Amino acid sequence: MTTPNHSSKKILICDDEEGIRESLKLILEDHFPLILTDNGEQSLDILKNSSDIGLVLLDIKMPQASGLDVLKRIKEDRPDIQVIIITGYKSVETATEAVRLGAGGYIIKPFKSEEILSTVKKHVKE
Amino acid sequence: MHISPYSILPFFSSISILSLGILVFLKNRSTRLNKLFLYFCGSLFLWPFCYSITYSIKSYDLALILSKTACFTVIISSALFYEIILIFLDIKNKEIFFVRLFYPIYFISLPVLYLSDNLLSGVHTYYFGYYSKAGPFYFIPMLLSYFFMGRPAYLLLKYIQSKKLDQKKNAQAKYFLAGSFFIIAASVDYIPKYNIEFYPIGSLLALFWVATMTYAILKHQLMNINIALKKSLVYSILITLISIVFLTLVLLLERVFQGILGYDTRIGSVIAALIIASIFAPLRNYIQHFVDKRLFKATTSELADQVEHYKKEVAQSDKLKAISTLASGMAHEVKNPLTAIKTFAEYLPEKWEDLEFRNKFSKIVGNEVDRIDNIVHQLLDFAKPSPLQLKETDISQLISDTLSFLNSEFIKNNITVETNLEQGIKDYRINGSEKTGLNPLILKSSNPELNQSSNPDSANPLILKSSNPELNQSSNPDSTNPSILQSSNPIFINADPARLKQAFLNLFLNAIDAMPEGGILAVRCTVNSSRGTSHTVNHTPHTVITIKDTGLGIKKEDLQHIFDPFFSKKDNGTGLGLSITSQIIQEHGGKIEVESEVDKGTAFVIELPENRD
Repeated sequence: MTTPNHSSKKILICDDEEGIRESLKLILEDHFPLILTDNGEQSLDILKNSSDIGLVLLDIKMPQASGLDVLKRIKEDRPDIQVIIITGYKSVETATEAVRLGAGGYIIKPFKSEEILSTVKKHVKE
Repeated sequence: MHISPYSILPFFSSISILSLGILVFLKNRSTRLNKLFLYFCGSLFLWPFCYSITYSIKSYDLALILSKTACFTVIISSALFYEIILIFLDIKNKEIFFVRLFYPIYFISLPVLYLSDNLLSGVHTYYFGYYSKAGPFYFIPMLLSYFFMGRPAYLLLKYIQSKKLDQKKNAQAKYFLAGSFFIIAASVDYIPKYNIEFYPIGSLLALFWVATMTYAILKHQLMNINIALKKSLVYSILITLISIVFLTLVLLLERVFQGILGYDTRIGSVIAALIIASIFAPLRNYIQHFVDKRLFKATTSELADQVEHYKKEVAQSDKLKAISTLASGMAHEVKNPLTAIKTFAEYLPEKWEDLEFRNKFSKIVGNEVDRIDNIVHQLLDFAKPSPLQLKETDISQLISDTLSFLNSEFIKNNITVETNLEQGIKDYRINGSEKTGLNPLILKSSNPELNQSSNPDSANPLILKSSNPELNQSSNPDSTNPSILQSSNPIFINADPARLKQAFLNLFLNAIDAMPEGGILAVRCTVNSSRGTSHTVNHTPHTVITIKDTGLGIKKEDLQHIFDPFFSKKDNGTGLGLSITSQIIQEHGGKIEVESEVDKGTAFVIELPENRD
């Protein structure tokens, strides 16, 4: 079992689907401290009140505020926080739009655990 | 040489005939039919052309030769016409052999015909110029050409009457037949040959023949010719044609005034011109209108055919689009649960000892497998709907039953249901229910926790099917009474109750989802014989069902996609609910429309015909 890397910065996972949320938790929980939310508004609230979040994994397709809207607002309020977009669409437009709005990268579902781990590690180091 | 005005009509006619022949040949040189048509037009051309010269010349001898040429070419023209029709009708028997045998005989005997005075004995000198004089044996070629023209006309008539399936060929045959009548009618030109002074109008009838053939070529691809015409060109030709006819008629009337009635001034010509002009203008308008309608606009039945054809194309492309949306939506919907299952499976050996993991594994993997199963079931419903089991169904009762089925959901979500079935609004609020003695469909939930735990997938009838209506009844003994709406007018339509129930269920579940904070669901059902939905007017009796919520509403850009398969904005929604609903309504010959405003609510309007045949 890998020793958890309790770096000071936490990772916020925002996905409305429990399966995906729990999968990301499973992959990352031994390496990073995590906070899980199922909607954008809650994520923004958490970001407002905590200063120890370094990275957000954000789902694009969510029922109320879409991932892109949440991304926009994160970048307005906390431009220092890295955001990685998780998208189910193999859409260049969505990814480009996300990067244009300030996302550090994107992951396409279905993802592999190594892919998640390496992408997150890379962005946390940065 | 002085050009007589009487030469104009035959000259123009001859040029038209020749032009038509050349056009047909140039457009399709490969077939014998088109070659024959050129020969036919070439020989037919000589007839009015020769006369157009005889009317204007003074030499008797030349007039005689030209008259003979005109008369004799008519014989070969009619033979060529005979063969054209035989080939057109695919008649390959002794008849065609007989016609072809005639050609060499004709050409061999041609010098004899020219030298003999028995067929044409000379030329008459009429007011319009020289005209051929029939000899004692002239009736022989005359009868022969009547046979050559009459026989193919008869064959064409027989073909049309046999009602062959080839519609295009039928239409072509009709025009050939109409054309042959003009050609036969042109034999009025035989009359002046027998010493009756009468301006031969055969060339005018030949012009009508040209017009008929041209029309058939343009409209029905006669002679296998496909020509796209410019409107301006058609008008130019038309105006020229009518002008020629006009001029000829003026000359003829002038002749009547001056010669027969005895006027010898130009006033006669002016009056003639005025009379003709008064008929000419409306006639020209009528013909322009006719050409517009016949040539550039399709007939009603043709338009209907075209519309039908385009509809099929659109339906086909819609189907392909739906399949492609379905496939990509399906892939997308299945991907997420698969990702979760795969991740948990991957960590299973590593975290086997971890009890929390094992519990989560069981929960998450179980849920995700259910989700895939659900998608597959809905997809099957969508792709292979079972055939409708139609029967007389009381739509009010059906709506009532469906609403009753969802009672606990309405209560849980703080939703008030109002129904209006033909006779005024029935408000099933708690107070109202006390007054009417009916059970309320709407009850405020006393359990805040229940309100929060909203239905995870309201577009999924499978989940709700698993809930037990009997349980609902027992848990809310006051609130569920399937007879609630029975007191209203029953509205009977021919429908599949199970399928319709599914359609309404999806809509009600969507309304519940759209009102997380509670609200009003208004269901209205009316029979209408003249009103359509917002965009249409339908005169057949139909039932209009309006389902209106006061929920979140749908964004304008999403509204056009809500009936697309796999379009969903909801947590875990498969996006198939409304697709299925729309499909069911369409199967019943009805339609569904939606109006929505963000933060105000959404209204679905369903129109169902009384009888679906």
